[in-house]
Amino acid sequence: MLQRLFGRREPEPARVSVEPFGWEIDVPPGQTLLQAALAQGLPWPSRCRVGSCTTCRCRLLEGDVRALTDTSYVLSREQLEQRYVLACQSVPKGRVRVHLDRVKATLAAHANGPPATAADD
Amino acid sequence: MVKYLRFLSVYLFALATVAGLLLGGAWMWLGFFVTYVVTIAGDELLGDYLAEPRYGHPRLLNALLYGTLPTLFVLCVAMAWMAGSGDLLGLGAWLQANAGIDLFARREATAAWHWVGGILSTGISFAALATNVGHELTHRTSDRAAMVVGRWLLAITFDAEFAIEHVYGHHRRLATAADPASARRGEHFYAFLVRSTIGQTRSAFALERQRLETLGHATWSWHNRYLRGWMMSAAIVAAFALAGGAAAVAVFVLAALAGRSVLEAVNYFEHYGLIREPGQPVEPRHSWNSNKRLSNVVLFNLARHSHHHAEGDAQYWQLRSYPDAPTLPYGYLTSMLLVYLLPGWYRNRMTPLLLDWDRHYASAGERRLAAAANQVSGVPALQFAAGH
Repeated sequence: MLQRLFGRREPEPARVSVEPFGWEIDVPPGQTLLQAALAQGLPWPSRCRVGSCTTCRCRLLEGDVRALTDTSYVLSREQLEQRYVLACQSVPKGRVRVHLDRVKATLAAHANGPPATAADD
Repeated sequence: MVKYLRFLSVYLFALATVAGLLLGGAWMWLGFFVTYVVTIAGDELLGDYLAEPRYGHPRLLNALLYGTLPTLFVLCVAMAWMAGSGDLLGLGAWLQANAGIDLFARREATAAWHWVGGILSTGISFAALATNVGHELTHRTSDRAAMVVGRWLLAITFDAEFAIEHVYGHHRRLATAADPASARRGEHFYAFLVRSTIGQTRSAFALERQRLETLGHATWSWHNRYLRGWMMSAAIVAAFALAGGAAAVAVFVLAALAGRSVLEAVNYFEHYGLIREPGQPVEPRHSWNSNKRLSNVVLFNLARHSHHHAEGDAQYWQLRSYPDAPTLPYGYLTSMLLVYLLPGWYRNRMTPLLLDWDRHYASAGERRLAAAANQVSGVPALQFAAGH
């Protein structure tokens, strides 16, 4: 589907590294991290895709993202201080490294990364 | 081009409302009748539209949304003029000189009871142009212009907080007991109207307070979007007071409340009786869908509701038809009228559809929750099914 959704377009795909799985995701301009991850078939946990359920959250280790929603409605102060972001609402600004706490259990069998460690919740 | 311009049809309803208000007298019903008769007959005659055309001009599609704001301004001016005394913005003199219409005589000939039609016409126009477009725009949380315009549109029906509750509450809690905007099995529309209105406003305030706490701001401060939303609505009421005095305020407030009740009627039938296990993903089966051609054209594809909830970030022109999703028996305006006038009948009409949903759509966990919901629904046919 055309992803011309969210205004400004970054010129080049942004490369995102995902710890501890060692995934490398190229996020095309205008796409969110989650959209790119799912397009690559990665078992990234997600549910609502509108930035409310926080299932897709991950922690920024390096670099920055443009947030498409006000994450202060859904993440706690501790999570914000630890630089948690929502993959479904994050457009990476250039090179980014994130930490994903868990993968989607039901898709884990198809993943290239290590086996699932936690359930999808 | 037709695939773009068909979304202009909702403007015709606003036009009918404006014309009806200015013609006065029994004409005040014009917008109401044109809106209901055209969409109800149109949905019956034109049937479904399942196509999913691709659109290459998002700017045009956005212009169709933003155009509602000036249109609503014109509508509000017409309303304030007819309810007030003087010659607001010189509209009366201008129409007399340029169109030969004597607005002053029309106003004289308009009795208080004619305003029932004026209020209902304006209410349905508010719901279609203000609430519906405000909903579409305030889903674009990353787009500042869309959020500002969307919140002002919602503020017309005293509901700017919808931008908080809907995205961060309803979409997350959809079809669970925790969601005030999901109608329960057996719930009567007018009971839902009260529960949902109060529940959503409380939820919006709680979400906003939580956000301000997280950010370290005081609840009672200008950072509070819930309070700012009510101030926006108060500003609109004040503008009506200045433009047309107490009478203008009275008809506006009633029309705004009528518009807001339309939102609750739509909330009611969009998810009536559907069930999701908390924590499980939102799927197309958790909304009642409709592919009625006219309902979708008039409401910017709102009736393609299964996809809207499954992928809340899709724009209105990207929404897919999902013909296999649970489907409403009627189009939106028809459902609305039935919910208002025959709420008990509508509830019974949905009973076999709910039982079918339990059999063909529900997961095992949802089936268990549905059986429990059927038992306490107060609807005999649902209770009977739960016992077998």
